[in-house]
Amino acid sequence: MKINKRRIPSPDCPSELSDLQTKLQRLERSESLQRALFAISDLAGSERDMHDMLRGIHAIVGELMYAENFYIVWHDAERDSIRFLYYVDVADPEIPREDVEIPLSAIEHSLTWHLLRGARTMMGNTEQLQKQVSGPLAIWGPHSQDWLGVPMLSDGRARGAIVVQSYDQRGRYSADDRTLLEFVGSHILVALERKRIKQDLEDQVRRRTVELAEANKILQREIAERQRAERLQAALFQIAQLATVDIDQTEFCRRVHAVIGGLINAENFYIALLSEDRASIEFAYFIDKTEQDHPSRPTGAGLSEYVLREGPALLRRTDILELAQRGQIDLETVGPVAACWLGVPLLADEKSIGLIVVQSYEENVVYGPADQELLSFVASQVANSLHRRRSAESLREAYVLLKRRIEDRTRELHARNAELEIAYAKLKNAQEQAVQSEKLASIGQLAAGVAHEINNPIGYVNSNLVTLQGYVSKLLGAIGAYGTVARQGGAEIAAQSEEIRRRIDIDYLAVDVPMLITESRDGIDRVCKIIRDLKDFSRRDRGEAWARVDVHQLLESTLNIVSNQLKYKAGIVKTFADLPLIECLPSELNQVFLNVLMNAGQAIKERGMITVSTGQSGDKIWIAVGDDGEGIPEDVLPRIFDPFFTTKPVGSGTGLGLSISYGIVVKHHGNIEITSVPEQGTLVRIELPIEQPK
Amino acid sequence: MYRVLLVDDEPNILNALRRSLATIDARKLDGEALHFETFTSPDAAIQRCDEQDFDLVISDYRMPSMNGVEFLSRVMEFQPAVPRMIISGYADREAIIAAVNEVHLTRFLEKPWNDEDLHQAVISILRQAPPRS
Repeated sequence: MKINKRRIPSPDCPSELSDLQTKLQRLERSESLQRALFAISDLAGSERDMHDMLRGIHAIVGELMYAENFYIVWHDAERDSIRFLYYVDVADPEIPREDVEIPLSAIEHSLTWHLLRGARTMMGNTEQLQKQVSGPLAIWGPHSQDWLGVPMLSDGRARGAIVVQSYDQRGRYSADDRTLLEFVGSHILVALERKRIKQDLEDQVRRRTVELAEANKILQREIAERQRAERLQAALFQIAQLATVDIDQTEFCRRVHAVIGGLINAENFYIALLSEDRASIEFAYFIDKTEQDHPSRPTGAGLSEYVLREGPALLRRTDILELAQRGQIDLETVGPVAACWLGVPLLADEKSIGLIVVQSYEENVVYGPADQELLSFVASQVANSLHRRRSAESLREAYVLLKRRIEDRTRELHARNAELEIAYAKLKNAQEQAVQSEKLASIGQLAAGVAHEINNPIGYVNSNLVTLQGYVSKLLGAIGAYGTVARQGGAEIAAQSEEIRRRIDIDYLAVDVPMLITESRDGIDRVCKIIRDLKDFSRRDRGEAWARVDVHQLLESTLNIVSNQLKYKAGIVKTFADLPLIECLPSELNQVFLNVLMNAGQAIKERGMITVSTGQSGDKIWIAVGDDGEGIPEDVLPRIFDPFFTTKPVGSGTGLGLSISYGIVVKHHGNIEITSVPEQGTLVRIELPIEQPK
Repeated sequence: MYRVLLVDDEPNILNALRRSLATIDARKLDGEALHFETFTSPDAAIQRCDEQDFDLVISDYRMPSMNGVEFLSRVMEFQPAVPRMIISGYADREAIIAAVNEVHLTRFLEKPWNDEDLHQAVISILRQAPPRS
């Protein structure tokens, strides 16, 4: 924009013309000023950087006044320092740079200093200026002819200042210039402010961006850390789970290896376990570039033992060699030396049960403390899992053992149960026998009592009958004698005697009285026999001793006794086996055999057969007497052993025989059994133990 | 004359015994007669023993006031050497053994007795010595 220069009024022009010229000049000035201000405003609002803008402003100001020497200074109130945002000067060789911060105190008492301090426009030459300031005035740089300084005020305070100056006649500054500069100054201030704000904002944004980038970096690091921890957690979880999976130890180690391989380099990896007695190491799982397999060895001076002793170890090749030199380990046991070796013990209940190792044979693969920490975490989980597996194993074993024991026990119990059932059956049997014995015993007692009561009267009746028989015999003899005597006395006496004989029927009496007595005696005899049987029945102890006897002898003697009775009725067939001697009361057994044989004989009506056989089964012998007689009806059979029970006609038995026999067999701890089929026959089977229970 | 003392709480027994023994032929006793004294009360019998020697004492075992063994041992106080018999229906083995051991029974007979056995026993006992009184 072209700005008309000011023209000095010429003396040749008339005053009206000069007035007009002056007014025109003024208008032109106003217009150019306005234009300038617009331009400045524009500049201020433009996107140009600070220096460009200031240069543009300088150019605009330069068109309005002499501004060859022009500077804008900015005051940082906080720091009490200034910066020359823009500086041009034809005379001053020292151009301060705009980015240099100068403390205000450094330009103390200078024009600029006063300007900023006073916050008032100052103009004029040095002299005049001196009067405008309070206090001393120091001139920096070359003295100027004319100087115009305008503070840029904000809230009454000088934020900065604009200065123009001239070193020669070329520039003289007027009040208009001052106004203009002030105006410019306020605009510049606004522009500067705006720019500053923008700059500040940009700075802030940049700072913020840097901060955010930094924060982001930190966040990224955290995320990486978090992810690492998660991976580790997942790995530990996996290993923990392995405790309960139904796999063998090798598979378990293999899976652990896989998990660890996901966390760190585990190309060369092994898990070693201490034996129960801690005397040897077994390499439960071994993967290595240099070796195929690793046998178990007794604990010695290897790196594994070192770790078990000292704790976790992170070793470089040099460290390993140093340990060997110090005698802590034996290189022979160690084998090929790794470039980097990391071992962590497996602890269960604070005791080391083994260790876990990763190693690298390449120099570029190394492990650090973070890896050691990681491996430690893993190791504790592996130890835990191992421990749990071992516990589970021992639990399983215990369970199997328990199951077996339970099965054994159950079998035992079954067997015992069976035994008990047998014993129970025997007991019931014995009880029944006992009941029977009781019955017999009480009847026996009764019998004994009755027998005793009867004894006395029977005793004397019997005796009296004998005596009577004697008496009667004598009496009858006497009567006979009297008869003989009477016959000798004469016919009349004889006749009288004969008459008496006939009347009283002496002959009949002579026959019948003796018969009466005889029959009575028979009756008493039978009663005596009954009493004797009763006594036998009730007698507990005959005072006989137990003896070892050949049963066949007893049978033979009994057969002898009965043969007279039986020989007309029955043939006897004997089938004797080889029998040992048995412990028994011989006469009592005889009684039994007698009774049974007599019964057999009595069962046969006309003619028949009696079989007598013997045998042995286990610890018992048996005697069987069979007949083909009339048999025993079914309804009678259960009562056969009852005392006084008899099917025989009156007078042929007491009904005590079988009861007594039963009692004797029971006394011998034996068994007597009768089977019978009516019209066909009867079999009596007697079982006796060879040895009596003690 | 042989004197025989019979003791039993039942009078009928005493009579039966007496009648039975009375039929023994004197010739079997070397011509000696038999004289019987019977008591139903053992106490009375004991008292009698104090007065009169006997050649044979026959007693029952089971009696109300005292048993035969007690009775015989009391008799022995007066006549320690007199032959002693117990006739009893009481089949208590222990009692019999006691009787034999304590009072040195000469004979034990069971009731109901067999007259023949009774006669034989009495004859063999009496014949061992002449009458005491």
